[in-house]
Amino acid sequence: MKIPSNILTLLAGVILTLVSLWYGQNHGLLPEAASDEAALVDGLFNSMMTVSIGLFILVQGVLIISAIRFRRRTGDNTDGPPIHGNIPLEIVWTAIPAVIVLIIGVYSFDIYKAMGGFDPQAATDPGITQIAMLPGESVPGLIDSSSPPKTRHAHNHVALGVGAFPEDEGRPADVNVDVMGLQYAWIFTYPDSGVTSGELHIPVNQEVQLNIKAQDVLHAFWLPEFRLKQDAIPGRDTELRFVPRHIGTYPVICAELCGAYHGAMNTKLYVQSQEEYDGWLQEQIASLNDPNQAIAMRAIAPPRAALTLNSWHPLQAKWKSTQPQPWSRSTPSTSQ
Amino acid sequence: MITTMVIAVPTGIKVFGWLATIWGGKIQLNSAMLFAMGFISMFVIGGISGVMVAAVPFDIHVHDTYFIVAHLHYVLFGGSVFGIYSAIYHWFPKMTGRMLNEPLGIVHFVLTFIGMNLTFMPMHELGLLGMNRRIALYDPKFATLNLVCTIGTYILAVSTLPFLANAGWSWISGKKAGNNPWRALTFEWMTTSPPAIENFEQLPVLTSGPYDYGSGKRNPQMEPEESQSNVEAPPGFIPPEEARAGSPEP
Ligand SMILES: [Cu+2]
Repeated sequence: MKIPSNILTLLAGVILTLVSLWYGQNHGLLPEAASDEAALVDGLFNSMMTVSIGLFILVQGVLIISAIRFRRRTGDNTDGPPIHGNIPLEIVWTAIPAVIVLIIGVYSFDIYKAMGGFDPQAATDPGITQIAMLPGESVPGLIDSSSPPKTRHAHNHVALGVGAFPEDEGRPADVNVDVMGLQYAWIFTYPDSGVTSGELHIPVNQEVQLNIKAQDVLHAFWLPEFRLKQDAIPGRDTELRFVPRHIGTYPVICAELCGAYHGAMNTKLYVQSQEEYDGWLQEQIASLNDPNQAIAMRAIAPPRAALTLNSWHPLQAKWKSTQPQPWSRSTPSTSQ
Repeated sequence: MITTMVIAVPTGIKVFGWLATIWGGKIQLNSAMLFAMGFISMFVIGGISGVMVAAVPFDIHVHDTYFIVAHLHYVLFGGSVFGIYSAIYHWFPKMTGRMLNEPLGIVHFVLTFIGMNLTFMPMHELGLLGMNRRIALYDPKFATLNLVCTIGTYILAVSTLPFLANAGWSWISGKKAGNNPWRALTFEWMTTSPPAIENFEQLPVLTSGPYDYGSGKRNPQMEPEESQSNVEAPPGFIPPEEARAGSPEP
């Protein structure tokens, strides 16, 4: 029995669609989604994966079928039939990528807005001020550090980072943490209590705002399980605002090449229950108020934070002992 | 975001055009063709991940990670190295007058294809899982996938050996190519291999266009020597000597 080719094509189309839809939801390629933002991004990725797998199977399938069905048999020296143009087909294959791109583009904007990418309040960054200079004149500071007070709906800057969910715009976050990137560590300061740490502790289900700065060069603050990343830029303010949803320990990674030991610039994020988080914070405040500890801290202030870096790799410990001590050159005054 | 993604439209048209070109044709599965088809196959993967990377919310996650390394190598290695290899297999006979060895070429293609995919496919997953790029020091949980990538790079390195041996050996003592070993219709195959100084001994006469395959308008001047006798000149074909005699003197 010979099956007509249009039925075969239809059957292939149905199978291709089903496989794409199934794989788009079950690829298992992404790590745990530990925040609401991550769930949004994963939804976008799954849709793109569905379309991608469909296109992938279509193109590779046509290539393989051509290689088998239309290969030149030995001894056959004739050419295939001359075919010149096919307007309907050309319209279809122009429309397919155009429509896909349009849908993915609009969907991406939608997700970016839902994540808080367009939060006007996120734009606290003062921008860069250009200062005219005569030759030989000393540089008074190229960056205007006196950031103007944040005005509501100040649309003159694009948000550097991911702000609040649209429904939370204008409302301060539950937990604020100042993040300082320096070669080669992240230092977290809790402005409400003055606690400084080399590891980030946050309470679960609370809205967290990280105010990210860099001390020396460009770094990038990346939380893979939260699908969030933001450059840390010297002289500019950036932020990430998110809601952690799962208790656990997650990596914090510097994602922007920042120097020789960039690969070792990692630490840990602890998402804790409210009680555990409060306990940790009290412990830190107590050690801050302990006079002996406080003196010790003042002497080695940021290094203390840097030295608590998690040594997950034996090489890293070796590197730490041999690398130049970056904090000996310029010590940020994180303890008063 | 959309302006970056829009590049997928002309790219999609190109890919579908290439597919429609081979569909229904008579494909000679030699090294040049295998590399050309491998190019389409790899380039499509790079194009797909390119659209993903253009979606800003997703790019926040994969920016500066191995996902980007994977994407750019599918475009750059799959999209250019495969194309260059294909071109070398196609035009080596014209450049040197000798054919490249086909079995060695197929070994070269298979090793390159396997090596490329083993090296770069796992990098997509590494990036998604949280391995950033430009580092020599990574979390031990990424060791297995990195080992696969390393094995792939060794295969990729070894894959160049049959190619280099083939190019060297064939250049010296490969099979003679003749003017037109591929029975192609474009202009360069009308002259000797390698082309003479000033390209043509006699003024070439074009009686068919470069895409006239299957139209029966094959130019006998372009047929390989052995099959030339049994090809009939199409009506209206003027032998080159007569054509030259008829044309006014420069
Ligand atoms: Cu860094």
